[in-house]
Amino acid sequence: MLNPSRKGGARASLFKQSGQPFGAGFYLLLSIVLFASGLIDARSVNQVRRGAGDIIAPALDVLGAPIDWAARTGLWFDHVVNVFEENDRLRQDIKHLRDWRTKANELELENRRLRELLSVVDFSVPTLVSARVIGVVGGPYVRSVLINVGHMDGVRDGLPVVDEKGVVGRAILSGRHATRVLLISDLNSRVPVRVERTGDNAIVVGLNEYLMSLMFLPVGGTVQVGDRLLTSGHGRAFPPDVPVARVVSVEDGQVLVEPLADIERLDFVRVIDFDASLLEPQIEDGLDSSDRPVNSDRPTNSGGGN
Amino acid sequence: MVGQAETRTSVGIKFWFPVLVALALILIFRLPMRTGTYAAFMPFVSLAFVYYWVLYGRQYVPFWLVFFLGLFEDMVTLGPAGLNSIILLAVAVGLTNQRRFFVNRPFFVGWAGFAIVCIGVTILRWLLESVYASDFLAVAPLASQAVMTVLFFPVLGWVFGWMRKRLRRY
Repeated sequence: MLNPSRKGGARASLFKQSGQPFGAGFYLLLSIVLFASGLIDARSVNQVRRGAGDIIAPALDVLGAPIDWAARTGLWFDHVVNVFEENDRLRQDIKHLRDWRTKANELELENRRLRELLSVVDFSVPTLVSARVIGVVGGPYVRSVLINVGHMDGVRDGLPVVDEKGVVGRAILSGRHATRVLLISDLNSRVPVRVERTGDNAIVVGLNEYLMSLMFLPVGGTVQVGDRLLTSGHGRAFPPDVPVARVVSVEDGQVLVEPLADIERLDFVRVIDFDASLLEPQIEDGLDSSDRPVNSDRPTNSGGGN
Repeated sequence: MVGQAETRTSVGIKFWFPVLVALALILIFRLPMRTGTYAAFMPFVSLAFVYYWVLYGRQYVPFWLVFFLGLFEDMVTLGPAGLNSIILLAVAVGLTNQRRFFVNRPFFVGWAGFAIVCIGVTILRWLLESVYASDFLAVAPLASQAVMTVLFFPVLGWVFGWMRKRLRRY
Protein backbone atom coordinates (compact mmCIF):
# COMPACT_ATOMS: atom_id res chain seq x y z
CA MET A 1 0.00 0.00 0.00
CA LEU A 2 0.94 3.65 0.05
CA ASN A 3 4.18 4.38 1.78
CA PRO A 4 3.71 7.77 3.49
CA SER A 5 7.44 8.44 3.54
CA ARG A 6 7.62 8.30 -0.26
CA LYS A 7 5.61 11.06 -1.85
CA GLY A 8 6.27 10.23 -5.47
CA GLY A 9 8.60 9.06 -8.12
CA ALA A 10 8.62 5.44 -7.00
CA ARG A 11 10.74 3.86 -9.66
CA ALA A 12 9.71 0.51 -10.93
CA SER A 13 11.15 -2.08 -13.18
CA LEU A 14 9.48 -4.87 -15.03
CA PHE A 15 10.59 -7.34 -12.41
CA LYS A 16 10.38 -5.51 -9.12
CA GLN A 17 8.78 -2.38 -7.73
CA SER A 18 10.36 -1.03 -4.59
CA GLY A 19 8.21 -1.68 -1.55
CA GLN A 20 6.13 -4.32 -3.35
CA PRO A 21 6.52 -8.09 -3.04
CA PHE A 22 6.13 -8.71 -6.78
CA GLY A 23 7.04 -6.70 -9.85
CA ALA A 24 5.05 -6.07 -13.01
CA GLY A 25 6.58 -9.17 -14.62
CA PHE A 26 4.84 -11.39 -12.10
CA TYR A 27 1.42 -9.81 -12.66
CA LEU A 28 1.93 -9.71 -16.41
CA LEU A 29 2.69 -13.42 -16.38
CA LEU A 30 -0.37 -14.05 -14.21
CA SER A 31 -2.53 -12.08 -16.67
CA ILE A 32 -1.18 -14.04 -19.62
CA VAL A 33 -1.89 -17.32 -17.80
CA LEU A 34 -5.46 -16.16 -17.12
CA PHE A 35 -5.90 -15.10 -20.73
CA ALA A 36 -4.60 -18.45 -21.97
CA SER A 37 -6.76 -20.40 -19.51
CA GLY A 38 -9.81 -18.53 -20.85
CA LEU A 39 -8.89 -19.75 -24.32
CA ILE A 40 -8.80 -23.33 -23.06
CA ASP A 41 -11.74 -23.37 -20.66
CA ALA A 42 -14.07 -20.35 -20.48
CA ARG A 43 -16.49 -22.03 -18.05
CA SER A 44 -14.39 -21.44 -14.96
CA VAL A 45 -14.09 -17.76 -15.90
CA ASN A 46 -17.86 -17.58 -16.33
CA GLN A 47 -18.34 -18.81 -12.77
CA VAL A 48 -16.35 -15.81 -11.57
CA ARG A 49 -18.39 -13.53 -13.84
CA ARG A 50 -21.62 -14.73 -12.23
CA GLY A 51 -20.27 -13.67 -8.85
CA ALA A 52 -18.99 -10.38 -10.28
CA GLY A 53 -22.49 -9.55 -11.52
CA ASP A 54 -23.84 -10.02 -8.00
CA ILE A 55 -21.13 -7.75 -6.60
CA ILE A 56 -21.52 -4.88 -9.04
CA ALA A 57 -25.35 -4.99 -9.12
CA PRO A 58 -25.86 -3.25 -5.72
CA ALA A 59 -23.22 -0.65 -6.63
CA LEU A 60 -24.99 0.05 -9.94
CA ASP A 61 -28.28 0.31 -8.07
CA VAL A 62 -26.87 2.93 -5.71
CA LEU A 63 -25.05 4.88 -8.42
CA GLY A 64 -28.10 4.78 -10.68
CA ALA A 65 -30.52 6.01 -8.01
CA PRO A 66 -29.92 9.75 -8.66
CA ILE A 67 -30.41 9.24 -12.40
CA ASP A 68 -33.64 7.33 -11.80
CA TRP A 69 -34.81 10.02 -9.43
CA ALA A 70 -34.02 12.76 -11.96
CA ALA A 71 -35.80 10.85 -14.74
CA ARG A 72 -38.87 10.25 -12.56
CA THR A 73 -38.96 13.88 -11.46
CA GLY A 74 -38.74 15.06 -15.06
CA LEU A 75 -41.56 12.71 -16.00
CA TRP A 76 -43.66 13.94 -13.10
CA PHE A 77 -43.27 17.57 -14.19
CA ASP A 78 -44.10 16.56 -17.73
CA HIS A 79 -47.30 14.89 -16.53
CA VAL A 80 -48.30 17.89 -14.44
CA VAL A 81 -47.83 20.27 -17.36
CA ASN A 82 -49.83 18.08 -19.73
CA VAL A 83 -52.46 16.82 -17.30
CA PHE A 84 -55.53 18.28 -19.07
CA GLU A 85 -54.39 17.24 -22.52
CA GLU A 86 -53.56 13.78 -21.17
CA ASN A 87 -56.98 13.50 -19.55
CA ASP A 88 -58.77 14.20 -22.85
CA ARG A 89 -56.59 11.70 -24.65
CA LEU A 90 -57.27 9.02 -22.03
CA ARG A 91 -61.03 9.55 -22.31
CA GLN A 92 -60.79 9.00 -26.05
CA ASP A 93 -58.66 5.90 -25.49
CA ILE A 94 -61.15 4.43 -23.02
CA LYS A 95 -63.94 4.86 -25.56
CA HIS A 96 -61.93 3.07 -28.25
CA LEU A 97 -60.79 0.33 -25.88
CA ARG A 98 -64.36 -0.45 -24.79
CA ASP A 99 -65.25 -1.19 -28.40
CA TRP A 100 -62.10 -3.26 -28.78
CA ARG A 101 -62.79 -5.21 -25.59
CA THR A 102 -66.12 -6.40 -26.95
CA LYS A 103 -64.50 -7.47 -30.21
CA ALA A 104 -61.60 -9.13 -28.38
CA ASN A 105 -63.95 -11.12 -26.16
CA GLU A 106 -65.82 -12.38 -29.22
CA LEU A 107 -62.58 -13.30 -31.00
CA GLU A 108 -61.21 -15.05 -27.92
CA LEU A 109 -64.32 -17.18 -27.66
CA GLU A 110 -64.18 -18.04 -31.32
CA ASN A 111 -60.47 -18.78 -31.11
CA ARG A 112 -60.97 -21.08 -28.14
CA ARG A 113 -63.74 -22.99 -29.90
CA LEU A 114 -61.61 -23.44 -33.04
CA ARG A 115 -58.61 -24.59 -30.98
CA GLU A 116 -60.79 -27.14 -29.24
CA LEU A 117 -62.12 -28.34 -32.59
CA LEU A 118 -58.59 -28.76 -33.97
CA SER A 119 -57.15 -30.07 -30.67
CA VAL A 120 -54.38 -27.45 -30.76
CA VAL A 121 -52.13 -27.53 -27.69
CA ASP A 122 -52.25 -24.18 -25.95
CA PHE A 123 -48.71 -22.88 -25.68
CA SER A 124 -48.75 -19.66 -23.75
CA VAL A 125 -45.58 -18.54 -22.03
CA PRO A 126 -46.01 -16.92 -18.65
CA THR A 127 -43.75 -14.23 -17.31
CA LEU A 128 -41.40 -15.62 -14.70
CA VAL A 129 -40.35 -12.28 -13.32
CA SER A 130 -40.16 -8.64 -14.31
CA ALA A 131 -36.79 -6.98 -13.99
CA ARG A 132 -35.09 -3.66 -14.31
CA VAL A 133 -32.01 -3.08 -16.44
CA ILE A 134 -29.38 -1.73 -14.07
CA GLY A 135 -26.27 -1.74 -16.22
CA VAL A 136 -24.89 -1.90 -19.72
CA VAL A 137 -22.10 -4.38 -19.16
CA GLY A 138 -20.87 -5.18 -22.63
CA GLY A 139 -17.67 -4.12 -24.29
CA PRO A 140 -16.66 -3.26 -27.84
CA TYR A 141 -17.42 -6.80 -28.96
CA VAL A 142 -20.23 -7.73 -26.58
CA ARG A 143 -23.77 -6.40 -26.38
CA SER A 144 -25.20 -7.28 -22.99
CA VAL A 145 -27.05 -5.74 -20.08
CA LEU A 146 -27.36 -6.58 -16.40
CA ILE A 147 -30.80 -7.07 -14.85
CA ASN A 148 -31.62 -7.07 -11.16
CA VAL A 149 -32.99 -10.62 -10.83
CA GLY A 150 -31.16 -13.93 -10.49
CA HIS A 151 -31.32 -17.48 -9.18
CA MET A 152 -33.23 -16.36 -6.13
CA ASP A 153 -36.03 -15.16 -8.42
CA GLY A 154 -36.04 -18.37 -10.43
CA VAL A 155 -33.97 -17.07 -13.34
CA ARG A 156 -31.65 -19.57 -15.00
CA ASP A 157 -29.31 -19.46 -17.96
CA GLY A 158 -30.96 -19.61 -21.35
CA LEU A 159 -34.32 -18.09 -20.46
CA PRO A 160 -35.65 -15.61 -23.03
CA VAL A 161 -35.94 -11.96 -22.06
CA VAL A 162 -38.50 -9.69 -23.72
CA ASP A 163 -39.88 -6.19 -23.37
CA GLU A 164 -43.40 -5.06 -24.26
CA LYS A 165 -42.53 -4.97 -27.98
CA GLY A 166 -40.47 -8.09 -28.59
CA VAL A 167 -37.44 -10.26 -27.90
CA VAL A 168 -34.57 -8.54 -26.10
CA GLY A 169 -32.16 -11.46 -25.67
CA ARG A 170 -31.39 -14.40 -23.42
CA ALA A 171 -30.07 -14.82 -19.89
CA ILE A 172 -26.49 -16.03 -20.13
CA LEU A 173 -24.93 -15.67 -16.69
CA SER A 174 -27.42 -15.77 -13.88
CA GLY A 175 -26.04 -15.01 -10.45
CA ARG A 176 -27.95 -14.98 -7.17
CA HIS A 177 -29.44 -11.53 -7.54
CA ALA A 178 -28.32 -10.34 -10.98
CA THR A 179 -28.26 -11.79 -14.46
CA ARG A 180 -26.48 -10.84 -17.63
CA VAL A 181 -28.60 -10.77 -20.75
CA LEU A 182 -26.99 -11.25 -24.15
CA LEU A 183 -28.86 -8.93 -26.51
CA ILE A 184 -30.16 -10.21 -29.84
CA SER A 185 -27.90 -7.68 -31.56
CA ASP A 186 -24.76 -9.33 -30.19
CA LEU A 187 -22.43 -10.90 -32.72
CA ASN A 188 -22.95 -14.32 -31.16
CA SER A 189 -26.74 -14.11 -31.12
CA ARG A 190 -28.85 -16.36 -33.37
CA VAL A 191 -32.64 -16.23 -33.22
CA PRO A 192 -34.63 -18.71 -35.32
CA VAL A 193 -37.53 -16.80 -36.86
CA ARG A 194 -40.28 -17.11 -39.42
CA VAL A 195 -41.50 -14.39 -41.72
CA GLU A 196 -45.02 -13.54 -40.57
CA ARG A 197 -46.30 -12.85 -44.10
CA THR A 198 -44.93 -15.95 -45.84
CA GLY A 199 -44.14 -18.40 -43.05
CA ASP A 200 -40.57 -18.87 -44.33
CA ASN A 201 -38.05 -19.85 -41.70
CA ALA A 202 -34.77 -18.00 -41.29
CA ILE A 203 -32.32 -16.88 -38.64
CA VAL A 204 -31.72 -13.39 -37.30
CA VAL A 205 -28.01 -12.89 -36.68
CA GLY A 206 -26.58 -10.09 -34.54
CA LEU A 207 -23.91 -7.82 -36.02
CA ASN A 208 -22.93 -5.86 -32.89
CA GLU A 209 -24.81 -2.94 -34.37
CA TYR A 210 -28.37 -1.69 -34.10
CA LEU A 211 -29.41 -3.49 -37.28
CA MET A 212 -29.19 -7.27 -37.57
CA SER A 213 -28.93 -9.61 -40.53
CA LEU A 214 -31.52 -12.10 -41.74
CA MET A 215 -29.82 -15.26 -42.96
CA PHE A 216 -30.58 -18.79 -44.08
CA LEU A 217 -33.79 -18.00 -45.93
CA PRO A 218 -35.05 -21.08 -47.79
CA VAL A 219 -34.64 -21.40 -51.56
CA GLY A 220 -37.25 -19.20 -53.21
CA GLY A 221 -38.05 -17.48 -49.94
CA THR A 222 -38.65 -13.78 -50.30
CA VAL A 223 -38.92 -10.92 -47.88
CA GLN A 224 -39.82 -7.30 -48.38
CA VAL A 225 -39.26 -4.14 -46.41
CA GLY A 226 -41.77 -3.96 -43.57
CA ASP A 227 -42.12 -7.73 -43.06
CA ARG A 228 -42.38 -8.69 -39.44
CA LEU A 229 -40.34 -11.59 -38.06
CA LEU A 230 -41.58 -13.80 -35.23
CA THR A 231 -39.75 -16.50 -33.32
CA SER A 232 -40.26 -19.87 -34.99
CA GLY A 233 -39.67 -22.01 -31.92
CA HIS A 234 -36.90 -23.96 -33.66
CA GLY A 235 -33.82 -24.72 -31.67
CA ARG A 236 -35.84 -24.69 -28.42
CA ALA A 237 -34.32 -21.32 -27.54
CA PHE A 238 -37.42 -19.14 -27.73
CA PRO A 239 -41.14 -19.81 -27.56
CA PRO A 240 -42.86 -19.48 -30.94
CA ASP A 241 -44.65 -16.37 -32.20
CA VAL A 242 -42.86 -13.72 -30.18
CA PRO A 243 -42.11 -10.60 -32.28
CA VAL A 244 -38.40 -10.19 -33.00
CA ALA A 245 -37.66 -7.72 -35.78
CA ARG A 246 -38.86 -5.90 -38.88
CA VAL A 247 -37.18 -5.92 -42.30
CA VAL A 248 -35.75 -2.50 -43.13
CA SER A 249 -33.56 -3.19 -46.13
CA VAL A 250 -33.23 -5.81 -48.87
CA GLU A 251 -30.21 -5.13 -51.06
CA ASP A 252 -27.91 -7.40 -53.05
CA GLY A 253 -29.12 -10.47 -51.25
CA GLN A 254 -28.44 -8.98 -47.83
CA VAL A 255 -31.45 -8.50 -45.61
CA LEU A 256 -31.13 -6.09 -42.71
CA VAL A 257 -33.68 -6.04 -39.91
CA GLU A 258 -34.25 -3.78 -36.92
CA PRO A 259 -35.22 -5.13 -33.51
CA LEU A 260 -38.80 -4.52 -32.44
CA ALA A 261 -37.76 -4.43 -28.78
CA ASP A 262 -36.41 -1.09 -27.69
CA ILE A 263 -32.94 -2.51 -27.08
CA GLU A 264 -31.29 0.88 -27.24
CA ARG A 265 -33.32 2.24 -24.35
CA LEU A 266 -34.10 -0.70 -22.15
CA ASP A 267 -35.71 -0.01 -18.83
CA PHE A 268 -38.00 -2.79 -17.63
CA VAL A 269 -37.95 -6.26 -19.16
CA ARG A 270 -39.64 -9.62 -18.53
CA VAL A 271 -37.93 -12.96 -18.14
CA ILE A 272 -40.13 -15.63 -19.72
CA ASP A 273 -40.65 -18.94 -17.95
CA PHE A 274 -39.98 -21.01 -21.02
CA ASP A 275 -39.72 -24.78 -20.86
CA ALA A 276 -38.60 -26.01 -24.27
CA SER A 277 -39.84 -29.54 -23.53
CA LEU A 278 -43.40 -28.23 -23.77
CA LEU A 279 -42.92 -27.33 -27.41
CA GLU A 280 -44.99 -29.33 -29.82
CA PRO A 281 -42.98 -32.06 -31.58
CA GLN A 282 -44.05 -30.80 -35.01
CA ILE A 283 -42.23 -27.51 -34.39
CA GLU A 284 -38.99 -29.35 -33.71
CA ASP A 285 -39.48 -31.50 -36.79
CA GLY A 286 -40.63 -28.54 -38.84
CA LEU A 287 -37.55 -28.12 -41.06
CA ASP A 288 -38.43 -30.05 -44.17
CA SER A 289 -36.27 -30.10 -47.28
CA SER A 290 -37.62 -26.81 -48.63
CA ASP A 291 -36.70 -25.04 -45.40
CA ARG A 292 -33.09 -26.06 -45.35
CA PRO A 293 -30.66 -23.17 -45.30
CA VAL A 294 -29.01 -22.22 -48.54
CA ASN A 295 -26.97 -19.27 -47.38
CA SER A 296 -23.65 -20.53 -46.18
CA ASP A 297 -22.40 -17.09 -45.18
CA ARG A 298 -21.28 -17.04 -41.61
CA PRO A 299 -20.53 -13.96 -39.63
CA THR A 300 -17.15 -13.64 -38.05
CA ASN A 301 -16.64 -14.81 -34.52
CA SER A 302 -19.50 -17.24 -34.59
CA GLY A 303 -19.69 -18.51 -31.09
CA GLY A 304 -22.00 -19.80 -28.44
CA GLY A 305 -25.17 -18.56 -30.03
CA ASN A 306 -28.16 -16.89 -28.54
CA MET B 1 -0.44 4.73 19.67
CA VAL B 2 -3.55 6.69 18.80
CA GLY B 3 -1.55 8.99 16.58
CA GLN B 4 0.02 6.04 14.82
CA ALA B 5 -3.40 4.43 14.24
CA GLU B 6 -4.72 7.69 12.82
CA THR B 7 -1.77 7.91 10.48
CA ARG B 8 -2.39 4.39 9.25
CA THR B 9 -6.06 5.18 8.72
CA SER B 10 -5.35 8.35 6.81
CA VAL B 11 -2.73 6.57 4.70
CA GLY B 12 -5.27 3.84 3.93
CA ILE B 13 -7.92 6.38 2.97
CA LYS B 14 -5.44 8.28 0.82
CA PHE B 15 -4.48 5.11 -0.98
CA TRP B 16 -7.99 3.80 -1.61
CA PHE B 17 -9.65 7.13 -2.41
CA PRO B 18 -8.46 7.35 -6.05
CA VAL B 19 -9.17 3.66 -6.66
CA LEU B 20 -12.68 3.83 -5.29
CA VAL B 21 -13.42 6.91 -7.38
CA ALA B 22 -12.06 5.08 -10.46
CA LEU B 23 -14.26 2.04 -9.76
CA ALA B 24 -17.28 4.31 -9.29
CA LEU B 25 -16.49 6.07 -12.59
CA ILE B 26 -16.20 2.73 -14.40
CA LEU B 27 -19.63 1.75 -13.09
CA ILE B 28 -21.20 5.18 -13.73
CA PHE B 29 -20.32 4.83 -17.40
CA ARG B 30 -22.12 1.46 -17.30
CA LEU B 31 -25.41 2.88 -16.07
CA PRO B 32 -28.32 2.69 -18.50
CA MET B 33 -28.63 6.38 -19.31
CA ARG B 34 -31.51 5.79 -21.76
CA THR B 35 -29.09 6.99 -24.41
CA GLY B 36 -28.61 3.60 -25.93
CA THR B 37 -27.03 0.30 -25.02
CA TYR B 38 -24.74 1.08 -27.91
CA ALA B 39 -22.88 3.15 -25.46
CA ALA B 40 -20.61 0.13 -25.75
CA PHE B 41 -18.13 2.71 -26.91
CA MET B 42 -17.82 4.04 -23.43
CA PRO B 43 -14.49 5.48 -22.40
CA PHE B 44 -11.83 3.11 -21.11
CA VAL B 45 -11.80 4.72 -17.66
CA SER B 46 -9.24 2.41 -16.11
CA LEU B 47 -6.76 3.26 -18.87
CA ALA B 48 -7.14 6.97 -18.14
CA PHE B 49 -6.78 6.18 -14.42
CA VAL B 50 -3.57 4.19 -14.86
CA TYR B 51 -2.12 6.74 -17.28
CA TYR B 52 -2.82 9.69 -15.00
CA TRP B 53 -1.70 8.18 -11.74
CA VAL B 54 1.42 6.49 -13.10
CA LEU B 55 2.55 9.90 -14.33
CA TYR B 56 1.38 12.12 -11.49
CA GLY B 57 1.09 9.87 -8.45
CA ARG B 58 2.96 6.63 -9.03
CA GLN B 59 2.61 5.54 -5.40
CA TYR B 60 -1.17 5.21 -5.83
CA VAL B 61 -0.96 2.57 -8.54
CA PRO B 62 1.18 -0.40 -7.54
CA PHE B 63 1.25 -3.18 -10.10
CA TRP B 64 -1.04 -5.44 -8.12
CA LEU B 65 -3.69 -2.73 -8.18
CA VAL B 66 -3.29 -2.30 -11.94
CA PHE B 67 -3.69 -6.07 -12.29
CA PHE B 68 -6.92 -6.17 -10.29
CA LEU B 69 -8.31 -3.07 -12.01
CA GLY B 70 -7.82 -4.86 -15.33
CA LEU B 71 -9.59 -7.94 -14.00
CA PHE B 72 -12.47 -5.77 -12.82
CA GLU B 73 -12.81 -4.31 -16.33
CA ASP B 74 -12.75 -7.83 -17.77
CA MET B 75 -15.54 -8.92 -15.46
CA VAL B 76 -17.67 -5.87 -16.24
CA THR B 77 -17.21 -5.97 -20.00
CA LEU B 78 -17.45 -9.76 -20.39
CA GLY B 79 -14.11 -9.61 -22.17
CA PRO B 80 -11.52 -12.37 -21.99
CA ALA B 81 -10.11 -12.66 -18.45
CA GLY B 82 -6.63 -11.19 -18.20
CA LEU B 83 -6.91 -9.09 -21.36
CA ASN B 84 -7.30 -5.71 -19.69
CA SER B 85 -4.73 -6.62 -17.04
CA ILE B 86 -2.16 -7.29 -19.76
CA ILE B 87 -2.98 -3.97 -21.44
CA LEU B 88 -2.98 -1.87 -18.28
CA LEU B 89 0.21 -3.47 -16.95
CA ALA B 90 1.92 -2.86 -20.29
CA VAL B 91 0.89 0.80 -20.11
CA ALA B 92 2.01 1.11 -16.47
CA VAL B 93 5.41 -0.41 -17.19
CA GLY B 94 5.84 1.64 -20.35
CA LEU B 95 5.02 4.91 -18.62
CA THR B 96 6.73 4.36 -15.29
CA ASN B 97 10.04 5.82 -16.33
CA GLN B 98 8.61 8.42 -18.72
CA ARG B 99 7.35 10.88 -16.13
CA ARG B 100 9.96 13.49 -17.04
CA PHE B 101 8.31 14.01 -20.42
CA PHE B 102 4.94 14.85 -18.90
CA VAL B 103 5.25 16.24 -15.38
CA ASN B 104 5.18 20.06 -15.16
CA ARG B 105 4.22 20.33 -18.81
CA PRO B 106 1.06 21.95 -20.23
CA PHE B 107 -2.08 19.83 -20.11
CA PHE B 108 -2.26 19.26 -23.84
CA VAL B 109 1.14 17.51 -23.73
CA GLY B 110 -0.35 14.93 -21.34
CA TRP B 111 -3.45 14.73 -23.51
CA ALA B 112 -1.41 14.16 -26.67
CA GLY B 113 0.60 11.50 -24.84
CA PHE B 114 -2.62 9.83 -23.81
CA ALA B 115 -3.86 9.84 -27.41
CA ILE B 116 -0.66 8.06 -28.49
CA VAL B 117 -1.06 5.53 -25.68
CA CYS B 118 -4.66 4.95 -26.80
CA ILE B 119 -3.52 4.14 -30.32
CA GLY B 120 -1.04 1.58 -29.00
CA VAL B 121 -3.64 0.11 -26.66
CA THR B 122 -6.16 -0.20 -29.48
CA ILE B 123 -3.69 -2.14 -31.62
CA LEU B 124 -2.66 -4.42 -28.73
CA ARG B 125 -6.26 -5.01 -27.73
CA TRP B 126 -7.34 -5.77 -31.27
CA LEU B 127 -4.53 -8.33 -31.55
CA LEU B 128 -5.44 -10.01 -28.26
CA GLU B 129 -9.19 -10.00 -28.96
CA SER B 130 -8.54 -11.47 -32.41
CA VAL B 131 -6.34 -14.19 -30.92
CA TYR B 132 -9.07 -14.97 -28.40
CA ALA B 133 -11.77 -15.11 -31.09
CA SER B 134 -9.44 -16.98 -33.49
CA ASP B 135 -10.57 -14.52 -36.13
CA PHE B 136 -9.73 -11.05 -37.40
CA LEU B 137 -12.28 -8.88 -35.63
CA ALA B 138 -13.45 -5.49 -36.83
CA VAL B 139 -11.25 -2.63 -35.63
CA ALA B 140 -14.03 -0.03 -35.76
CA PRO B 141 -15.58 -0.75 -32.31
CA LEU B 142 -12.19 -0.48 -30.61
CA ALA B 143 -11.29 2.64 -32.59
CA SER B 144 -14.61 4.24 -31.57
CA GLN B 145 -13.92 3.45 -27.94
CA ALA B 146 -10.41 4.89 -28.25
CA VAL B 147 -11.78 8.14 -29.70
CA MET B 148 -14.34 8.37 -26.88
CA THR B 149 -11.63 7.73 -24.30
CA VAL B 150 -9.39 10.46 -25.71
CA LEU B 151 -12.31 12.91 -25.86
CA PHE B 152 -13.28 12.15 -22.27
CA PHE B 153 -9.72 12.42 -20.97
CA PRO B 154 -9.95 16.14 -20.07
CA VAL B 155 -13.00 15.41 -17.88
CA LEU B 156 -11.42 12.39 -16.24
CA GLY B 157 -8.12 14.23 -15.91
CA TRP B 158 -9.92 17.08 -14.17
CA VAL B 159 -11.50 14.64 -11.70
CA PHE B 160 -8.17 12.94 -11.03
CA GLY B 161 -6.44 16.33 -10.72
CA TRP B 162 -9.02 17.48 -8.19
CA MET B 163 -8.42 14.28 -6.22
CA ARG B 164 -4.66 14.78 -6.33
CA LYS B 165 -5.01 18.26 -4.90
CA ARG B 166 -7.18 16.93 -2.07
CA LEU B 167 -4.72 14.15 -1.35
CA ARG B 168 -1.86 16.62 -1.13
CA ARG B 169 -3.66 18.59 1.59
CA TYR B 170 -3.89 15.60 3.91
